[in-house]
Amino acid sequence: MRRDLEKRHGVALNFLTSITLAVLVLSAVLSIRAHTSGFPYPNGESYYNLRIAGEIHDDILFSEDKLQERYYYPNPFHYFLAAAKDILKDKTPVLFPILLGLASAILFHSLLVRLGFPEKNASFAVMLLSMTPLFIVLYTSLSTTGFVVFLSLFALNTYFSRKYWETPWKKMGNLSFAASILLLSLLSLTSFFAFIMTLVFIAVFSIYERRSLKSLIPATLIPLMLVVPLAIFTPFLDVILQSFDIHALDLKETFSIFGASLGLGLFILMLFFTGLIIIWSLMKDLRMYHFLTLLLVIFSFFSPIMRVYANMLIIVYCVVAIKFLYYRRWELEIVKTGTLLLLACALLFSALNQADALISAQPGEELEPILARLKSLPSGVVLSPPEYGFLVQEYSAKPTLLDEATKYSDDFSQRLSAQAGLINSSRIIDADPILQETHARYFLITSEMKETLWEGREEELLFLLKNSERFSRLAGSDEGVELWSLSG
Amino acid sequence: MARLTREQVALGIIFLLVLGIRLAYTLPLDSYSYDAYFALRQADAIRHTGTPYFQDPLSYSGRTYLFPPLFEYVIALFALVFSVEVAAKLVTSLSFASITILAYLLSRQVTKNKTIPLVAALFTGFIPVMYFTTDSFSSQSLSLLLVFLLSYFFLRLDEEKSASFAVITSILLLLTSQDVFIFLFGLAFYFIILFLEKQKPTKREVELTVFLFFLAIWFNIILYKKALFLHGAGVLWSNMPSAILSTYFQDVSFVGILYSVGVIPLLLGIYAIYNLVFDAKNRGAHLFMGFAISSFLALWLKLVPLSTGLLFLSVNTIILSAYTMRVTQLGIAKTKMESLSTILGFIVVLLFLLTTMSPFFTYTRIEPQHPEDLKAMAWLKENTNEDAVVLAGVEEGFMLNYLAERRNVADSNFLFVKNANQVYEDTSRMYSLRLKSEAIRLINAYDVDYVLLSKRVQESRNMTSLFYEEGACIRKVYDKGAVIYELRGCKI
Repeated sequence: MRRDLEKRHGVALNFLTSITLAVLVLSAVLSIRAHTSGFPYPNGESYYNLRIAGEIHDDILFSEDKLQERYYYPNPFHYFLAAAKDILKDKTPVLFPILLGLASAILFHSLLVRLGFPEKNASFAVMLLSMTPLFIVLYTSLSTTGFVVFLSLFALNTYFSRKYWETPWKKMGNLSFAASILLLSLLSLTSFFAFIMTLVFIAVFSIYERRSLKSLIPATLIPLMLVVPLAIFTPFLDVILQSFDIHALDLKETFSIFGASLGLGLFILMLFFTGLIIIWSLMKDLRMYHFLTLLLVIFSFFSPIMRVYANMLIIVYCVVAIKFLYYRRWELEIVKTGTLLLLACALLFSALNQADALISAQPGEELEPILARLKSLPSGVVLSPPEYGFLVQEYSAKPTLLDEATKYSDDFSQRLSAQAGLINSSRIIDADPILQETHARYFLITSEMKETLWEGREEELLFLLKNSERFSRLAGSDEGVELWSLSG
Repeated sequence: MARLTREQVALGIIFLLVLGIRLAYTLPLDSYSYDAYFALRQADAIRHTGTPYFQDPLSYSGRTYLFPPLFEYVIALFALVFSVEVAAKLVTSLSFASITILAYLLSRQVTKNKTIPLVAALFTGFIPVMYFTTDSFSSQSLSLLLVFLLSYFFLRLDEEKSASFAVITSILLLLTSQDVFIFLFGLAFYFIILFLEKQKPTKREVELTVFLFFLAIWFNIILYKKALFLHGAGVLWSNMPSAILSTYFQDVSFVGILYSVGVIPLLLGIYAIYNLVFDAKNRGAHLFMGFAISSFLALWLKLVPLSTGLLFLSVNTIILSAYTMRVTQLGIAKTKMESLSTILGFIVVLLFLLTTMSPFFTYTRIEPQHPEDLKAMAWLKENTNEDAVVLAGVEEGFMLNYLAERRNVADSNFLFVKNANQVYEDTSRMYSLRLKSEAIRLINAYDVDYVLLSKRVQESRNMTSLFYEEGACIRKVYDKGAVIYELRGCKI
């Protein structure tokens, strides 16, 4: 009995250590970033989600994005975030991602245990997961994908819980199944592709556990009964298609070391292959599942959502690889020490590299006063780089000509050509018609624009802004970000 | 004190002979291949400041360098006693000469014989490709030495301390160049060959290989992290502009290999591969068979520069040829004409010397330096401002930095250069443009103060002056073979 108690204590300690590590990693990145740059997240959808959640918080029946004059497709994540704002208040930007990450880590651990993974290994898997670039990216921002992963893991846990809760709480088993259907429904509305991926996982895990696939029928049909009418009678079909987001093979999109926003760690992948080779020879009867995992990893090179799921599966094999290398009898002790040290350093480096990229990513602190100034000005459309669009909308409450969601709008090509036309204009006579058509009044010129568009020279729009009396600089400097306005 | 054996004395003589001949060729040289000036400049920086130029104010008028600097540090160490140029010549010659010792040791491991490895050492010291690089100082020489040293320790893994030495050598190799991947590539083929021969690698071999693989990947990711972020997979080809990629990674021809490696080693090496495939089980020879195949494939697939690939292929072929000679010797020993093996040995050596004599004496240096160009560099150093930017040919960039100590517009290291294709094209166009306004636009874009029209550029472009030289803002300030123009406030 005493041994049993000690064993339970050990297991609990491992679990606590793993989730503490996850929280530490996430909170370190978020707090360092907030301290150094003044903005909680890098440029991107986080600011869009924050803004929309704010709008929903003020008006729950929010249905049109009046700022950008486009239809708003309801997303459960925004409602969830709006509800969280009520509880977490102004700490939402920092606390919400950490809590979501913590919940996802716990659900990942729970799922592994349910599928027969030893608890100690499951805790180790969570530790490894919290060091992966993907986990760090997802849960140091208000990423929809992070919420999707949370929903997915929650759905998988509740779906498979009937066995877990089998003996003492049989009724809870049915309730949890109902909860899984609800979660799958929410998932289908948030990301249809993730919903399909989750169903595939349920099917595969069910076959692995020799369960009946009959439960999968209501789990599939009920969410579809929500999605299909929406797809037919509303523009929700566009949202469904957007969720697939397949891209061509591009190393810069696939690996975090090359700068991918949702990238796999190269070393993690190498460990995965090591683990796959080991497990392939040891567990011959499960080769079909290993092969399916390999397929998923290969396909993940073409899809960010698949990469996120692949990342979690890869971790399982990494655990196998590391344990094998650690417990193996080595003939060369110096090589054993070197290899294990190297693995630890590589994993640490991978995490630090990603953390560094996130901490030093734009926007920087120089933008804070500029956006504050912009907010105080009268209304007008802002010309800014598309990747800054959401940030400008959130902090200045002004519409932008382009943002990262404009590509899905009907008037995308007109907006794009208008922005390109303005950027290329060096004479007021060329710019005037576009200015009138777009109502562009403010111009946020970043250092990256000066470098990539004009190679550091005063050309085109920059030349026009600095030499025409129609424009005045409101904030910023020649070396950094500048805010200009059209006067008169 | 232990007495030296006859073999050790003979090996010492070969080493000194090779070293002496190399130094006899290189010491009188006062100009080198264009890329050699990079190593000279970095070694000079280390000698003065203790660190190389990782942030170079002269290259591209200010850029970041990323490279493993051990070779340059070794030159700087020798430069404490000698001048930088002499130190570079010594280090390179010592490295290449030392490979003869390694070839002996490795051949001895493979053949378990004392005499045949001496022939291998002799071959290694006098293969033509070793002399194609006399005017070049690059980490190639040191990395070649370290790769074969690593393979020596790999062969002797069963012995105590070999693993430790292998780890140390691999770290030194990583600090010298990326040639560790050629070694790993070779090991992969070695394991495939063992598998096909129904043999298994030893546990020690697998362990060391796994460790080396992880170490090499991790080290290079750490070193080139920023470059990977900037250039993606283009880092594998050093972000070279497509216009010069094909000349840097050249096509390999059988005649080229024959000329570089030598007929005799090549034929003997090919026979060794045939013998190993169909008959013998010699793990040491299998290892070098794997290396030879990997070197050849790396050359064929243009994964390595031509000179690097040929050097690796040559030494591996020579070790395999030692194996062939041993097999032949053992075969003859079974007959009644045992003395035939000695005669055959002499004939082989004689044939080798005869077939390599021609390329040995008639090798051409990669890029001969015109004396006028060297004088022009000296003039620039004496007569221009320290922060002047000089337009020179891309290949001349390092030479300009080292000899003239002036900023260049571009040189042949393109890592961290954004829009490398554009920069290369602009540099080329600034020479060939006829329209003055366009030329001035580009000149102003790169803040060029002087244009150097070297003899080399004149010959390659078939021009003797700039097409847009007419006008007040462009003035010819030097014209002694090479021509230098000064640009003063040119505006469109």
